[in-house]
Amino acid sequence: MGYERQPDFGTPATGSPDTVTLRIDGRDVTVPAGVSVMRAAALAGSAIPRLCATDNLSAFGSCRLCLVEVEGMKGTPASCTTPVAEGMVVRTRTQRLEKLRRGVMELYISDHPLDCLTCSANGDCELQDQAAAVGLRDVRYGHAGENHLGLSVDRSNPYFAFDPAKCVVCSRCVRACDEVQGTFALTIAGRGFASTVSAGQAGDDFLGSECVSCGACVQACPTAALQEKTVEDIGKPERAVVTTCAYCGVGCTFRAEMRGQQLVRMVPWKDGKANRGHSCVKGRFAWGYANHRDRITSPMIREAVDRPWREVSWDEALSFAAGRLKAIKARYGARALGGITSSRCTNEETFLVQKLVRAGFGTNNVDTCARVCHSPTGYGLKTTFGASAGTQDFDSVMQADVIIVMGANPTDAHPVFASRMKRRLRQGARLIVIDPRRIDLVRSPHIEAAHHLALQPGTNVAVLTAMAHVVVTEGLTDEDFIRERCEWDAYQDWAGFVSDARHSPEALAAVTRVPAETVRAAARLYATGGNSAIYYGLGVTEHSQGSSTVMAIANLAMATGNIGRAGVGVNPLRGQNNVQGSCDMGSFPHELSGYRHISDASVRALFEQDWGVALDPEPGLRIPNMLDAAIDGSFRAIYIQGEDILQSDPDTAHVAAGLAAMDCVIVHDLFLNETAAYAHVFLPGSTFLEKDGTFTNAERRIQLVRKVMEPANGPDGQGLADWQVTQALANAMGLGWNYTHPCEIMDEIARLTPAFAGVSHARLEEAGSLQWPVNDACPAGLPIMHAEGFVRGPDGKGKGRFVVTDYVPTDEKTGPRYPLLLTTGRILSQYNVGTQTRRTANVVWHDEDLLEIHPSDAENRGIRTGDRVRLASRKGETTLRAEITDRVAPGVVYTTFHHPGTQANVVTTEFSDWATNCPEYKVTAVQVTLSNGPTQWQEDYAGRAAGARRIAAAEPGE
Amino acid sequence: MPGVRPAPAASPLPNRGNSMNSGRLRYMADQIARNFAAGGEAAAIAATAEHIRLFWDPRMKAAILADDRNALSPVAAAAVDRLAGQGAWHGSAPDSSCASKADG
Repeated sequence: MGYERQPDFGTPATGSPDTVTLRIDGRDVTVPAGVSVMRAAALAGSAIPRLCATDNLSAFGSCRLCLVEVEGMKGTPASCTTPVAEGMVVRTRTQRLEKLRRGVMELYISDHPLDCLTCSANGDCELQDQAAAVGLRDVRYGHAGENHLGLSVDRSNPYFAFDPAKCVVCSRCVRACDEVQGTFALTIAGRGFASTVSAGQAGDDFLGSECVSCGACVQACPTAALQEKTVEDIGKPERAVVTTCAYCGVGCTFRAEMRGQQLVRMVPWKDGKANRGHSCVKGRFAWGYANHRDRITSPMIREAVDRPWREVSWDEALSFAAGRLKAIKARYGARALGGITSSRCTNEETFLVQKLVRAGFGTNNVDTCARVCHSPTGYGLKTTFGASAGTQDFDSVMQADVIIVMGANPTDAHPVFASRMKRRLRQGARLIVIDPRRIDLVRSPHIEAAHHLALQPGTNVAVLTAMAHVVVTEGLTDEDFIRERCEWDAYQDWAGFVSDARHSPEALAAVTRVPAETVRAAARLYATGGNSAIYYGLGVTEHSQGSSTVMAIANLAMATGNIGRAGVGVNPLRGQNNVQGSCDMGSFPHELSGYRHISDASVRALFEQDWGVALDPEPGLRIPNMLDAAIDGSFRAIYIQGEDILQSDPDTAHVAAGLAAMDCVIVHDLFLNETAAYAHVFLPGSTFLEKDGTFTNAERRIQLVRKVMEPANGPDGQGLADWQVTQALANAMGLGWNYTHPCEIMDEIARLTPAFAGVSHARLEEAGSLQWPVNDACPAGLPIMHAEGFVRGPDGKGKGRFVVTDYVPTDEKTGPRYPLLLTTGRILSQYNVGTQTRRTANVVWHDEDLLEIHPSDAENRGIRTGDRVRLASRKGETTLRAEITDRVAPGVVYTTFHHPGTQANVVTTEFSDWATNCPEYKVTAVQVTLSNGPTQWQEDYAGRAAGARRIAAAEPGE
Repeated sequence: MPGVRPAPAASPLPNRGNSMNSGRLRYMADQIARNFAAGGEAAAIAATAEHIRLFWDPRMKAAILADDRNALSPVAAAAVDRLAGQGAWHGSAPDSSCASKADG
């Protein structure tokens, strides 16, 4: 693809199946009913001049350029606000219209700087294009009159600038902020000639305003008034490649706009089915980490972790690693080896890592970072529905009438989906938030939750059981649905269990601290409000009853018939770009790709034949078990691709002890992350911009990732994508792999995985994206699952199963020494442990983790906002600065985990989900006290980290 | 790891030192049993045994089998007995409710 803007039809599609035929400039045109005359003309290939119209915003009718003549209508109506009608006769190019348009354009240009030749938008400017389109030749008014040309540029945002002199006050930015993003940060201040775009109040700049830097306004701007700074610095892109974002599980599609090998900007792709042309600050702007100076581009090895790193060739690093792995295997057996696949890498790369572990190492000790986030989703949804995945596509939310958001904070963690959800809420859908903290969705501009169940952390199952009690005892179940689609006996057991008086909202209020009436009202709304959908996140899974909570959610959806059609469903919001994919690809130690248990001999035989090796029929170790076994001495070597377990996993001291006990730690990453302090081999990784492959988002949507530049981890043309590094390691161990492109790996996945049978890179290229399952039964994929029935059991035809989920309180208890409960979460501008986002300008929004504490708890402790406080649990302690807010309830404190200097996981515990060992990050009993300064650990951290990152000076060549 | 201060109070979950140790595994087995308890004792024993069979690595299974049953809750102990009775724990096909195919 060369560089050109995506086609813009001026006003949105209506999606109407009915058509209307009208005559435009003498040609009969048939278009969907309800579209504007402007869109009809654009669909017919004739562009009506326009400035304030763009097809992702509703028509506004302010620029007066798109005037047309319509037979039988007086005057010259704006084509953007005039809907088509059967038999309508439209003229878009008459002398009168041309004159009017030139007059309008002349006024615009009379107050616009004529610096086109030096303007960063030169050649990519709608004002320039439209001036040419209307044939403007001179400006009779001159430029000496009153104007806006001297206004100063707002450069406060790190990624884009606002130059009011170049603004034509078309309001596209304001409308994009309102309609697309839903933040309402921008407005037009003043009236008439004094009208200007303003970010919030007078005196606010873009950075100081409520702007979330999503980039929608920049994308909407027809001039260089709002422009990416990279375009100013680098210049206009010359080609564009469509690819998939590597941040969260929404999986936005972007156009990577390139100039040579240099990325100029990432622009959301309007045809992306996950994002529909929208973006957030991370995907749109925070890609600078790819070229950050901390990035390691040479393989490195060292004999021991207290020695400096030594830069070596790929061959030397790989033979060193393979030698150690083979020696450990010979001495301690295959089960002493293992690997961790990355939810940030592609499906193909993930599949290869688990293949290397199972077929090469000869063990099933492979796990993935989904262990610590959504493993309970896999277990819970498979047990109840039969498929370890969310049931809907994102479009489904636009047909929801009631939305439950539980243990998720979409506006921070899944912002692009949150914008869709907020659009639906503004249309009138009702919202129930179940979260200990008052997240932004509870109340923000034009959004207000009908109910906020501010539960005590750790009581998710109790709240859901209480809601189920209301649904069953008040007769709000959908019995036809249950009888037809679910196991009736299991339902009756469950219904009997939840109906017990001890599960009433009144009885459980003592533990949940949610008023019974609120629970009852929320349950009634969910059961009777129309299409009801549940969206949930890690606040559901990261508990000692994470799997139970997922199953309790599934029970509630089945009991009310809210499964199997658009607008309903159970939707896990996945944390990372490829969490779904890494789970699908057989990253868990007990199952092969497609969630088939390793003990199933027929499935194993399929892989054994294809791979030519015998597989261990026993499940392997999960990440926490690996660390336990390492301390125990029976687990000695690990290959970690793209995960920083030392920072992201709970109980840091325990993780460190486990890593320190191993003889061979191979870290494959972009940066010397915290885990690399314990590594013997460092294999430099490649970014998502540097490789081909696929990611699978939270909707099960498989999307292509396309290489836009050469990997930086080698001389031009000799760098290795991550799949190539894994292959090279496999070959150093003697496996003889010879994949030449990731599409061949996908072919192998398709061959071995029924749900992926119809997937290939060629099919994806053709379809844009596919939602699995893609096979003979569903050749085009499946946007909404379970429409016909559930898919449990080996034949995939078993009915839905209600599972009794008894509330078992966590063993992490508050007491006199640790009276508060700590829970954790993400912030918009940072991503996970910050490996990427901390290396971008996103730090201007969040440069340290803060501890949110309720005013009454702060008052008791003499803490003021900004004070440094000591946060201590039974596991350890750290310090950070406090922020006093009533977003958290009394007794609850909250922090993020983006910065290694804070290291919130020093205090989290080793308690975990009973079924999956997913850590209980969300509940830690803590005490908070005023502190004089950083802990010794924090003071030592910088020095220790620097020490562990020493790289020996290169020796002179031979 | 130097510098990380030891926990100021004893954790209720003993996992320091020898971590495939009985304390950690006993806790895990008991936790599984407790979450299946609502289904009644017989079902909970079967489900706990099956869960361990499906999700525990052989060294963990071996350790819990060799461990003192009296240190476990009654349901977990009966589940481990059941596993011991099955002899080799790899062989039989997995239970359909937990190991079904995802290709709906």
